[in-house]
Amino acid sequence: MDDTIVAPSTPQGKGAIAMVRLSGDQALSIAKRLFKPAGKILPRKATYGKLYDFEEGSFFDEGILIYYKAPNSYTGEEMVEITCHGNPIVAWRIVELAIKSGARQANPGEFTYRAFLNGKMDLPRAEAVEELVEAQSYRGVKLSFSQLEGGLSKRIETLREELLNLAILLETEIEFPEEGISIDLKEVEKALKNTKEKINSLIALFDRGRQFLEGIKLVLVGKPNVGKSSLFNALLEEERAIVTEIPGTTRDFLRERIIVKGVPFLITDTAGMNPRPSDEIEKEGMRRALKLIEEADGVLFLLDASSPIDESDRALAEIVSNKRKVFVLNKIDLKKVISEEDIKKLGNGHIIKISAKKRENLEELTETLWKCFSGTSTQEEIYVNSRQKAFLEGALSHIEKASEMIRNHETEEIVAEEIRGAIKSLEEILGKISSEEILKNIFSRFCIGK
Amino acid sequence: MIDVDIVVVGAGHAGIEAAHAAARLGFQTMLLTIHLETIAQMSCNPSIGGTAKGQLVREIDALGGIMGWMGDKCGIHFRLLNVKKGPAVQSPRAQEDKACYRLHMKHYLETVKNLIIYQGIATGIIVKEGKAAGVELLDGTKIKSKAVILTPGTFLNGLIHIGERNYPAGRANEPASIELAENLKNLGFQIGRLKTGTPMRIHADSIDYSKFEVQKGDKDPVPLSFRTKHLLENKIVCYLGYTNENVHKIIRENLHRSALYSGRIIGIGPRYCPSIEDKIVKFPHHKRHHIFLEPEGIDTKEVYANGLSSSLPYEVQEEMMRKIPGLENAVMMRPGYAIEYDFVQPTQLYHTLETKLIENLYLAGQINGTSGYEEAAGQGIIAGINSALKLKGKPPFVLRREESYIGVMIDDLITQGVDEPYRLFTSRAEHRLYLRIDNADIRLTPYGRKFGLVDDEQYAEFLKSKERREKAREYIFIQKIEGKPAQNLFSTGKISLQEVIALLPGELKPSTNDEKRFLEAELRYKGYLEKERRIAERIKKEESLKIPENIDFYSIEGLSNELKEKLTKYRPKTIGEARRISGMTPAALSLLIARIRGWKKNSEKS
Ligand SMILES: Nc1nc2c(ncn2[C@@H]2O[C@H](COP(=O)(O)OP(=O)(O)OP(=O)(O)O)[C@@H](O)[C@H]2O)c(=O)[nH]1
Ligand SMILES: [Mg+2]
Repeated sequence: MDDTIVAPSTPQGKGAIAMVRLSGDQALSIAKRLFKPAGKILPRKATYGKLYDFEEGSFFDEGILIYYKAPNSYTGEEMVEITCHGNPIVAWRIVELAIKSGARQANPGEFTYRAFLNGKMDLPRAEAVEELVEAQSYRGVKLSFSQLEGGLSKRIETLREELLNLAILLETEIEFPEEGISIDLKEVEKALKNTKEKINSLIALFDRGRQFLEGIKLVLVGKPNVGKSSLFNALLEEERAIVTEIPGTTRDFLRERIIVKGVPFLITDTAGMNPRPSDEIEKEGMRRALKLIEEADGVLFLLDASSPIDESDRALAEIVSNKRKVFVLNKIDLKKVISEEDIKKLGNGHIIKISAKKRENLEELTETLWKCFSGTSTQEEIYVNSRQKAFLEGALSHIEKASEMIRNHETEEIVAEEIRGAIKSLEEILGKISSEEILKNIFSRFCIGK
Repeated sequence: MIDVDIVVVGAGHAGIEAAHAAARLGFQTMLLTIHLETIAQMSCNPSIGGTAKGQLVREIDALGGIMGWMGDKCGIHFRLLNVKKGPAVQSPRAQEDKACYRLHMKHYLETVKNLIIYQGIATGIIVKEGKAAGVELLDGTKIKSKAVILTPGTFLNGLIHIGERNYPAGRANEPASIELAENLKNLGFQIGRLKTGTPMRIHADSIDYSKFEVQKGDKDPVPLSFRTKHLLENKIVCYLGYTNENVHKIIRENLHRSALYSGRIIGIGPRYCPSIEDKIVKFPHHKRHHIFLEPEGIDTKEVYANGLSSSLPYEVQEEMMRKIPGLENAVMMRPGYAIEYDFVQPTQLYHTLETKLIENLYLAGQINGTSGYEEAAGQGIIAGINSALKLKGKPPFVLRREESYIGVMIDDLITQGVDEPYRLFTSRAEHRLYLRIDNADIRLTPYGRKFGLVDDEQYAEFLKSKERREKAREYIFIQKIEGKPAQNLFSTGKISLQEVIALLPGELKPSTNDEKRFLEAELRYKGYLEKERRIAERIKKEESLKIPENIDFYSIEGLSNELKEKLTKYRPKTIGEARRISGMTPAALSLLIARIRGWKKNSEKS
């Protein structure tokens, strides 16, 4: 096989350990980029080492690597298995880094498919393999299909048709230059923009999938000492974070999962936002908090009911202005100096009044979180998995390229090439091919005589 | 009793290339034709080339075929289509002097070594022990051969329709091959019926050209052939005009008299080349349709009325003609007509164009469901080469989709079959940016040379030009202007081709327009071409895995019965062919691959 594939081989979700597998010519060289062994890697020998995030220049876990030299492996190819701690975040980071090093995410059953292709498996197992292989082109789609009542396939199908229509226009102009059919590439560009937006909104659904599989990411933000860590502990129902009356207690962030009515939330406690950080550590804490906010699905904006809203609060509100948020007015057991009107000036969002210390009104808070961030169960259930997302992103980059080419007045045949590429990416999701369809359409739409 | 190695039935565009290639490969070859006078007759439009077809002609030429070379010799009006688009979709087209083409082709073929041209009507194929062993002629003569190539065009059970009348014919007033069609049916071939048509021819002096728009040839004509040395000259102009509502009204009123719309024609016509009545029925809102007036030659007054193909009765054709501005007083010399003919569903062939049913029997051209001179010629040369290779005991010659339009066409035919006359389009090619006129020789001439179809002179010239092109490309790839790669600057439109060429040292500067075009394409499409090359290599590896001929598909466990049946019926020779069978799943393919690998291991052991 020419390309190297990668996938986690242990079930998604938490466990003691997780395992990610690579197969293909480049398996070892890719693995070496993200795994720094303590000793020499020998075939079929376990090697301890650290997992290295070459994008961030830091280590993120430790683990064991086993290298299987072709053909003595499960797939019959060069293979590597990396065992890490059983957090899906770690496993998926390994997969992401491997993909960034040139691997491709394996289709369902592909390791087995390759094992079969390479003669590693006997014929009596062929029927089982057949099912696995069938899944290669449909499973991803069908999974979302059954889960989401057919929405995704239809949407991709529609997108594909939109692109096919554009391809037909371009091809007509290429194939029949003397028919006097001339197309307006500006219109094509407009249509591309429209399709692009739709693809973007599908890609956004990837988060939905991730949210339900791993957790909805919420970040606790607020000035130092407003009670973020107190709330964090209250939600976890354990004394996880250190709480003191000294502002700036929390320096690094802490992340934990809570389950509210079956929906997982990943809650992160952050360093208090001090617009004027006093030291390097506080600065770094701030920097990380900002990054967390960026990646979060929403924020819990904490305010101290006993002290008036000030510049820091307003600066913070600015930072999270485009985030979905819930305002949490804490310390209501003390003298309240903040009104709802004051809070509304900071931005849109539910306002919940609690006391973290006294554990008051916490249920109302979790109920609100559930409603705000996961209250979509009655809506159309669509999400895209990472394979589909990758192809959607592929289609998107083709579309962007095509639009750029049109703006640069490049010729039809390369614009068409990009659109074909986009169509192919979408077809990869659906598992079908075209070409004749384009031609058939040309003839039903235009009168071609010569 | 005449005894030859290979007999080719039909001297149209497919037959000519087939016979020429077979003879050049060293076999005693007989080219059989009903009339010696109609060798290489252009039965319909007087032009060669066009979108995708121009590329195809270049490919035939690169392999050592004759169409392009003769087309340049007898060309009287040359145009490069899609000049405003990129080099990959630029296609040359030439208007031909039909008489010149016919005469010169005949004369040339008469000089080809090992080639016998013979006038006779084939009525049947002699089959011995499942193998083609010659043909029988109407006069009782038997021609013994080791291989037979059938290229009967529209003659195969041809039936001409004009209005309410029809009569058997291969072309207007020429006898149809009815016995041969019957013979193929009896041999067990699955036969279908297709239809095509041709427009009226008009006397040049009766046309008021002032009502038409002149269409001139290119100032700097692009030849069809790599071998053409002489300066091409535009000797005529063509004209563009339009139909109108009055014309449409007459057609509409007389539709019931059209052979097509009265239900007398069962064959399916091509969508891309509809008759005028078709256009009016299918596109009722169009107020007008194009008509191109194309002279049929220099020494003739006949003008081809492109766009007016029709199966209406003569008097209706005449009436509608008179409603066309500029044709009010036109004199018709031949009416248009529709013709139905038999074809053999091409899924019954191997990629070599040999039939699966009868060994050493090859089919090429319209008999395989295609339309177009170029498509016919492209199949002809492949059938000719393969019949000869087989007699030599050499491996077959199959061009891949990734390397040629010929490969795309034959693969489409063999794996998909046809339900209407098949025409090539550039969009049928997955690797369109690579399949160009400016590199057809680089892609295919090495094959032609290997078979002995390309002579020393042509080959030496090819090598020189290839080297110059490739060196120029590599040279530019490493050039930088102010730190930026020149290739990049060019492909993003920041510098012109002229500026790129200025960077080249004298000996690497393009010496022809094709070399220039090559440079432009390779720079502009660089990223795409690299990607295509990688894909092509991967496909080549996987698809070329051979399926043993005696494999019993029914013994493969896990395959569905439907697939077992299909595989047994189509007998694919490689994994590539198997993959293209409809209903084939990746899983089934892997079962097949596993079986082949297992089979190979077993046979190695024993
Ligand atoms: N009265 C009262 N005090 C509270 C409440 N919540 C937190 N506190 C107190 O406020 C102080 C700061 O609490 P923390 O939870 O450490 O606050 P923080 O926002 O995490 O602070 P930094 O990590 O320093 O940014 C502690 O002394 C808490 O006991 C509350 O609801 N009522
Ligand atoms: Mg804290």
